[in-house]
Amino acid sequence: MSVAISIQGVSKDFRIPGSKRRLRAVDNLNLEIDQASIFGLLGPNGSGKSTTIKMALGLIRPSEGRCEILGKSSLEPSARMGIGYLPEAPYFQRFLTGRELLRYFGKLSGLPNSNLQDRVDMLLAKVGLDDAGDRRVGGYSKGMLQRIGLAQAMIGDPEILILDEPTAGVDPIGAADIASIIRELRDEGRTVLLCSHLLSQVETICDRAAIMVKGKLALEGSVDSLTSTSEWSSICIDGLTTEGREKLEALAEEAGFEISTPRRSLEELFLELSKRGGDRK
Amino acid sequence: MSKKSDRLPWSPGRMLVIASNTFREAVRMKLFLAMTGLAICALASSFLFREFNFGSSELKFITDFGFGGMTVFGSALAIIVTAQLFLGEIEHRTAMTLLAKPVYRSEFVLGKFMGVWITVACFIGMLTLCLVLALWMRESSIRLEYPEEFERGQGLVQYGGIVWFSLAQVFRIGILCSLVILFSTYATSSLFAMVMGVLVWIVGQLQHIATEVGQAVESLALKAVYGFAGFVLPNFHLFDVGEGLAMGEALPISVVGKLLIYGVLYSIFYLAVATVSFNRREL
Amino acid sequence: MNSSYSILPFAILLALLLGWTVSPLDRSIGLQLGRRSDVQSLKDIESRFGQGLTMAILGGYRSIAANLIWLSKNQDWEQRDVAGTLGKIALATSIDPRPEMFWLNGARILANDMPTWIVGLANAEQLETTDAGQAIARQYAERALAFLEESRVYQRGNPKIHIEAGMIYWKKLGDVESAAHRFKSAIDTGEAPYFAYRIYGDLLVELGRKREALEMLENHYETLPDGLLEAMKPVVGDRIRLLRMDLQTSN
Repeated sequence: MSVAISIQGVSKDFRIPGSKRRLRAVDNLNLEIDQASIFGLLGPNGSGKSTTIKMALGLIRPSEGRCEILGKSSLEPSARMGIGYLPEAPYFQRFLTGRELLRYFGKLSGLPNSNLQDRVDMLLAKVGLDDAGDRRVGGYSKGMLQRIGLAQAMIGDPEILILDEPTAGVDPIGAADIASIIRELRDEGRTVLLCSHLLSQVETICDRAAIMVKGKLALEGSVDSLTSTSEWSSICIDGLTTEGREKLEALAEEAGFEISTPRRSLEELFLELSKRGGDRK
Repeated sequence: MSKKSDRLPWSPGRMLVIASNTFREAVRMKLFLAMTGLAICALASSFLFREFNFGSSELKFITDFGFGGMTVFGSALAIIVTAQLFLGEIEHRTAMTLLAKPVYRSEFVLGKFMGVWITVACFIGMLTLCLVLALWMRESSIRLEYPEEFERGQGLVQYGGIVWFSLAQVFRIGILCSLVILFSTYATSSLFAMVMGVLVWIVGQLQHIATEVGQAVESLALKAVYGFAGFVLPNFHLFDVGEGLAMGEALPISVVGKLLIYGVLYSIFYLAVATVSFNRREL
Repeated sequence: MNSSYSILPFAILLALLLGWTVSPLDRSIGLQLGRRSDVQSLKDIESRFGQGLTMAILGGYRSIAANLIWLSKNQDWEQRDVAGTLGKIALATSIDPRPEMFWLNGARILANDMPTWIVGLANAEQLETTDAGQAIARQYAERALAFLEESRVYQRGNPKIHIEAGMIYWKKLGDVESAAHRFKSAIDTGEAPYFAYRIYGDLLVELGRKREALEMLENHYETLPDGLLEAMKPVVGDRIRLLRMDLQTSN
């Protein structure tokens, strides 16, 4: 499978105003995100996720290393022809209607006028805003803003979507709809880079994930491998009664085994790593 | 999925899309509507004040009000609207969403400039229309009162002169907008960009005095200082082409052409520097 | 603020280069608009600086601001407040020096009204009869002349300023020589009213320069239209005849 986003040896330093010192926001990050996959980028606040996304979008320049989008440097505007971006807590010009907003970004994405109207209508329906397309964005709820933001990210028919907190402020039903859209995008062969603090969501949607702590990559792999532990085995028993569980525990104890929770959640892993400062061992 | 070509050509179309959106946003700003209303009311109020006008004809007095609106309100509008609409995009992070699209930063800078410049040009155009209407109304009533003044067939007001003055202000505003955009490309607050814009507006009006003083002083050091001040900023005083234009003073067409060249050269220069500055800015 | 400092020196250098490149264009436009570089002194610089600043801030609205200040001056005039009136005259002319009326009326108030306010209306004759009174009259006449001198930067080529100064020299200071000089300056603008020629002729006669007066009036007579009351062609003709007779008698 070919690589959609390649981050090679990337570091980013910021000058601290009034000081000669520099703050290293991202430290020697190496990451490859395959095409047609959903990749979750996690980390506590200040871990360097947003900086990494901005470098992938070409909005800031790495101090060291290189970011590539489908083989092109992320600093080239042409690389962004294949990207759609949804920022965290999106803000748009309030006077535009949903339809006008999508037309505006569609024109900027290079969509010809002949295709624009159909694509706008299709996307409004896809994100569930076909009834609100002619209302001003200034009157949208937070959830509606997320949906229209997702629609504008998709307007240019991008191969890669970078979504920062796509379900923030969205009700559970809406969040499930968005998750479903993200899976559809993956099934269409697109790549989705997802940043979210809703770890349960990342766990269910993403194929692979990476956890950043203090600017470094702490862990990266498939969600399954991240959340399973090699020392543990798990057996799923359907309809196990309390009496049956007690007998099994007694048997295991007799044989010298320990029975406990076979999986730990991504959330647990995340918290553990954050406390340890990124060291899994 | 659609194919994407490898090279992204620079697109005037994208620039115009940004300009159009900027214009739509600008004309909806309460400030724009307030300034336009204020300038038109001030012009209308000149009819009340004309009874107290001393030493200049009442038509010139009304013209002063119109020209005053264009220079004072037009300049204030240019500074505030440019700073707010450029930095507003960065502060609200809409610039990030926009620049995450295949858009050159230069397209963004130029699109913003075009949008605000056209907005203020429309303001000056509206004020010009109102001024022409006000003068025509007053001239018509004077014609009825004193028909003998018009026996030679010539009117009291040269409406062409008003148009030339308005055009000169549009060129001046172009330079001012491009300067404020330059400040906005590295400022972190719109207040800073606005304050710098006001300073440059005032200093630009006084630039010609620095040049003259530099020629008049003896000391080489002072000559260098005043010469530096005289060269580094544009001379906005050039665009004060004479309030007498409306009253028949002639303005050679070549002057309008030269003012256009002057305005275009300075605007291009400041926009070029602004583009370089914005390309280096990290969002 | 993000790091753009390293482009600043280059930007300033390029700005200087651009300023130098367009300076011929700048000068050319200034010439075509009839603007001259006439910075003669620090006082000139100060007044031009103030003007530029006012223009920058008020633009065309300065005329209404100046007019309102002139109106408010009337209250100080009615109360015979010297300082208040002086202050507002100075302020109105500094905000908008274009109306000649500010300068002419301001000079008249200085030369004619203020001395009377100082000594009191009941003692007005002291301005001519006592040394102290004459000194006050002289002081304010000179102030009026200095005030009119300030106007010359803004009222270039306006004969009325010269005429007003000439009248002050003649009537208030008794300086006929200077008065004649100012009336000559008014005539040299080419736009002096008809009476200026007649007064100039009278002043030349008073100075004993009768031949010069005759020559001037004869030249002026040729230009006078018939039938125009204010030209007073018959009156000028009479003065020419009297002068000729006077000069023949002298010879």
